[in-house]
Amino acid sequence: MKGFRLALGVLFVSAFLNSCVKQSFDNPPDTSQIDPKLPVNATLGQLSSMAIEMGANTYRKMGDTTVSGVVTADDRSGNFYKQIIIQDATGAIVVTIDQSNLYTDYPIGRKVYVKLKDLILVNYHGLPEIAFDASTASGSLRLVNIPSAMMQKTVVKASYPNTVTPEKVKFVDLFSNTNKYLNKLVQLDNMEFDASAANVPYAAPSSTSYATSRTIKDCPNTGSIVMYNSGFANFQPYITPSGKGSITGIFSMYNTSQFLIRDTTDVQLTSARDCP
Amino acid sequence: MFRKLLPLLLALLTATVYVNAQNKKTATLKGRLVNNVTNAPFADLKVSIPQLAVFTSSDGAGKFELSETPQGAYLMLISGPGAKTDSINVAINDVAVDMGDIKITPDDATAESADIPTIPIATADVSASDNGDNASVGGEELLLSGRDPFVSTAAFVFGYYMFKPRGNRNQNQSSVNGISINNAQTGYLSWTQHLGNQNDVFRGRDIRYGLEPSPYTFGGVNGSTYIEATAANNRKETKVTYTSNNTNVNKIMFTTSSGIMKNGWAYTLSANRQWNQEGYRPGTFMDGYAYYAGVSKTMKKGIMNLTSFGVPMRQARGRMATQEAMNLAKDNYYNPDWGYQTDNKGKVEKRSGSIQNVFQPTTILNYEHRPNDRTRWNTAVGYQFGKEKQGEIDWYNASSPFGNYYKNLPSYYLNFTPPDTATANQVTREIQNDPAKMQVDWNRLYNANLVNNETIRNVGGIQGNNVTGKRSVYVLSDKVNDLKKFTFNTNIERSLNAHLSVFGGLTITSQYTRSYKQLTDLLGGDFFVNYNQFAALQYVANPIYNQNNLSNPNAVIRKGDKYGYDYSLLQNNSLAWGQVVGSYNRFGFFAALEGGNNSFSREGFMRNGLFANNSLGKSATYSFFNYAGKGGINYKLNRHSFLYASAAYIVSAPTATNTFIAAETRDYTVNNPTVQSSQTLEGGYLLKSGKVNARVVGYVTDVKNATEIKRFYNDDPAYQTFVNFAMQHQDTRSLGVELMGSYKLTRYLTVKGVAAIGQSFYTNNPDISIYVDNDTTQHAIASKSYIKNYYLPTGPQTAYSVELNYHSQNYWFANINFNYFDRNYVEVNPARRTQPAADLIARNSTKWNQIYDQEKLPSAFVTDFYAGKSFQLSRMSKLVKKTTGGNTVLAVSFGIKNLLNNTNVLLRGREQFRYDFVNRNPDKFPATYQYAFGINYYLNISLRF
Repeated sequence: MKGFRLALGVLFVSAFLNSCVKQSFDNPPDTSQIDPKLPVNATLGQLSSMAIEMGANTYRKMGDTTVSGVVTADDRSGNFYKQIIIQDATGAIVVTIDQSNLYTDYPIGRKVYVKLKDLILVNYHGLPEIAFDASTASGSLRLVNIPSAMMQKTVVKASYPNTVTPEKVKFVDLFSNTNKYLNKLVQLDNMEFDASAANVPYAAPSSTSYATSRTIKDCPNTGSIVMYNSGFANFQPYITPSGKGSITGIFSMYNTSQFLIRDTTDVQLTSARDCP
Repeated sequence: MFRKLLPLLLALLTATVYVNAQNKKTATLKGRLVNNVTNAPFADLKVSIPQLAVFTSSDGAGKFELSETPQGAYLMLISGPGAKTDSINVAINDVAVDMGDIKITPDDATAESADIPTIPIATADVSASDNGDNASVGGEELLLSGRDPFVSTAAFVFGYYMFKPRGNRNQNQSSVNGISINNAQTGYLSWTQHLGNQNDVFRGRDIRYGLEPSPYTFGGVNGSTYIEATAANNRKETKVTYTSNNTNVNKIMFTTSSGIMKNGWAYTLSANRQWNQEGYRPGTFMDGYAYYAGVSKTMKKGIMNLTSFGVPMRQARGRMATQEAMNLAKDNYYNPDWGYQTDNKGKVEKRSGSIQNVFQPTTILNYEHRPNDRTRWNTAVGYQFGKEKQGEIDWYNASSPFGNYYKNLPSYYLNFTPPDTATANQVTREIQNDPAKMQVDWNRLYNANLVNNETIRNVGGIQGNNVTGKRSVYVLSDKVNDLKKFTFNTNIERSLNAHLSVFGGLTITSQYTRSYKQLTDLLGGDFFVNYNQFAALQYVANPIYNQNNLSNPNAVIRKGDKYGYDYSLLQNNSLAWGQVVGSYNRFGFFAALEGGNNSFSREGFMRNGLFANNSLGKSATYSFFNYAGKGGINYKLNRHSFLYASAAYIVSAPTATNTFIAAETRDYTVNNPTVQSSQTLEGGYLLKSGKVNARVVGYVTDVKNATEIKRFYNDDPAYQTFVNFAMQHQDTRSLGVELMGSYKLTRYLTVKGVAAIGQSFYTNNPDISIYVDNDTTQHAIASKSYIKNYYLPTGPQTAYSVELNYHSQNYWFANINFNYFDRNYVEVNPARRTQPAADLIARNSTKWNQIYDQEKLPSAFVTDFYAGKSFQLSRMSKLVKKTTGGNTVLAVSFGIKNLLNNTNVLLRGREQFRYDFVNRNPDKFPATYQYAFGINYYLNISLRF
């Protein structure tokens, strides 16, 4: 029985050894409110103008410049892919990053700083964008998105959430002042899907085509624009409404202008249809 | 179905009724066996008089007794674990003969290994996970150390380097006190996980290699291990052991045994604790206990034992990785599963995302009936229960949390056409400037959850029941297997006369395993949602298909909730066997038959949206008749050597996991599930004389009609999703030779050479059916995988060892071995050997060869060293003798594995099952590897009194 008592003793001692191995972890501090307050030395408006002046399908290496903006469009719905759009008071620009599900780091409403050193500013078919690199070796311009290994360092997370309010723009003004509105989140009122684009899926399935163009127009009619919807978006099979109302989204460009929604909550065509 | 076997069994049992006529004059013969080297009692040895067909075994105090022995002169044989077989001439001419102390020479092979602690250092700490398939493959001890000089080298030296005896990938059939400890459904057994390295109590082993007959079981192609772990087997002793090694494992073990007390009772208690903060491989740790408690009561004609043992173990293991990832991390022991986490006080700590938690204790009640010295009849019931939880990071609509995800690495850019070297170089620089990029960034995972505010509508299917909060995109969850296993076993052994013995048994096993995923940590978020990510991607916006559980749609999952899948498998096995072993002057034989039934069924507890009518409730029961026969002959050439030949034919049922395409979600099975057959032949020459011990054995095993399902992400544009890749009618062959020669150079110094040269390969091109995991139909695309003549991943198929062993009279030993391994082949991806994998690529072009060739790992040379000494303290000091009672031994041993610190030894390689079907670039998803540890050593100190 001496042995038995000793056994209990050893077990008792070994229970203390338990504390040797890490059992649980405290939650890390919530850093979502923190703004690292990096010095900003250019505005997105300046960057955007610079890209437009460079001309379509050209790019330039950037120096030690930092810009800042709030995310106005992310990839949560899948309509945007491997890019976010950031905007400040002066303008907006696309940031291409080689990773999916960017919304988990850069959701709409998050302020970010972008350190442009080692990155390029590119005019991609008329649209100002920030990328890692580009080449024209294949005859056409190919972008290299910011590699995921560089992402945290170059696209620095700041405070969240910030209110994102779309700018109300008259449909005609979009076309009279294209450069001002490129990449900006705008709200267009009195909009309808074109008769050919109403009551159909937002996009054909991804197995058929990567994206589908649906024409939207204002009413009374002054013109129209293509709403470009990804076949990979989670709203792809949803049916476009036939009513009239506001459409919010990013004013974009691929040789000609186009319009991109973040998801279908951007489409509020709640009134009765007015125009044919 | 086992009714067919019942008549045979009954015949064997009735044979035992014929008790030989009583001799006129009988005697009681007793004695005590002691270890020649340590002077300690020798327990568990079999003492027999073949001429009289009587036998018994020595108890914990080394004592034995044979009653009612006819008087006369006989040859007595003493054999068993750890002892050299000895024969003694006895003359029984009185009613009671006490032979006194009989000195038994310990067998070299076990004398060492008995003192060498088994600490799971290298092989068990890595799982071979591939694209979310979290199945841990291999990496466990194959055999317990054996006393056969070949088997002990194969297990103890080669086993550490992933050598699989005879190319057999299945685990050895093992049982404790009659109860099988292998998983009844998968055959899986982990020495660490189930027995907890409790060498003190699980040392009484009967190991049968190959087709060698066992008194306890029919055995498999690869033999069997029987462990007798009862309190009565241990002599009165208390032992404390401490072990430490440079992989930071500390182990404290404590064992106390009462021996058989005057009232016939005996107890043994043993407990150990082994732990480390961080293992040799970064981000791994171990935190475990093990216990054993046994009580025995000797009765007039038998002994009753109640035994319980269990191993509560929590550990973090590593994972195999590509060479590129190891190079980037500048560490061949790179482990992607851990990362840094900052706590709220700003302290940075390492955390693993792959923590395993297992506790499945076993309790056994057995009664061994010994009506006379010719009969042993053991009946046992066993119950095992408990959970095995494998933790993992799970995510929904988020990118991979792992630093080694292929799109995060430089090779992703190098595999572009044309290669983007500039970006690849930039990525390399970024990772080298911040090596933490190769690891999990826990802070980032938490922060992703904190900023993801969402509203889940119609939670539980209730209209308007909306939940708003932080929806976690990353969570920690456990894959849980909750086991309940009941076993009944009875086993009889009976000597009929001086030449013939019969054996038989009956086993009934019922095992119920419930498997589900359980959320363990929301990582800062408020909830998770029970959706199927892959179905959501495949069937966009379909509100039914993305539901993991239609009975509770859009369910909000919180800590402790089950999600994903929830099902059970019920396995019922019954088996009867019988065996006869004959031994004549020069000739011996054995023959055994086995037959039984395996059946299994699935029951689902979630109604999966994709398989609404095939996921919930009970499936059909699949039942298979198994049978097997084996036999062998041996012929003694002279006193020292003999020839033998054995053959077996074994038909075995498929497992439930290789029958159900994806038991997690549905009850669909492969087409015509069928039994597989193995036939094996072995033969050889064995020599055992005073100085020379030699073995030349050849074997061939054919496995036919095997079914295997591999589950992985298929990059073929036709799939681009998870698939269940079922291979049916798969045939393999293993053949080879096993050579061993040992020679006693002096009385104390022995040299031993061992060679195992084999070939294990596929012998046909199996039929492939590819079932898309998220396809609502049972539709399969049929094809062939052209893997004929590819080698099986069975570790080094060539292994050599030369060993010098010194055993001093003065209680010390030293052993050094030099080992060479070669022909270790990388596990091939059968999907990469299908027609589309190299479609449109010129036959025999460089690229074609790159796709089809099988990689052989480089050969390796390693050296191990062991030494130990025991001090007979009670003989050295009168004080010790006085206080502890005269038998105090301090034993110290240490071992060094990989003495030359060769850090380039590749233990195993595995091609990723994901393959680039678009550009047919085999380097896009390269093979993953595991390296053997460099020099590692341990020190073991034990005190017995």
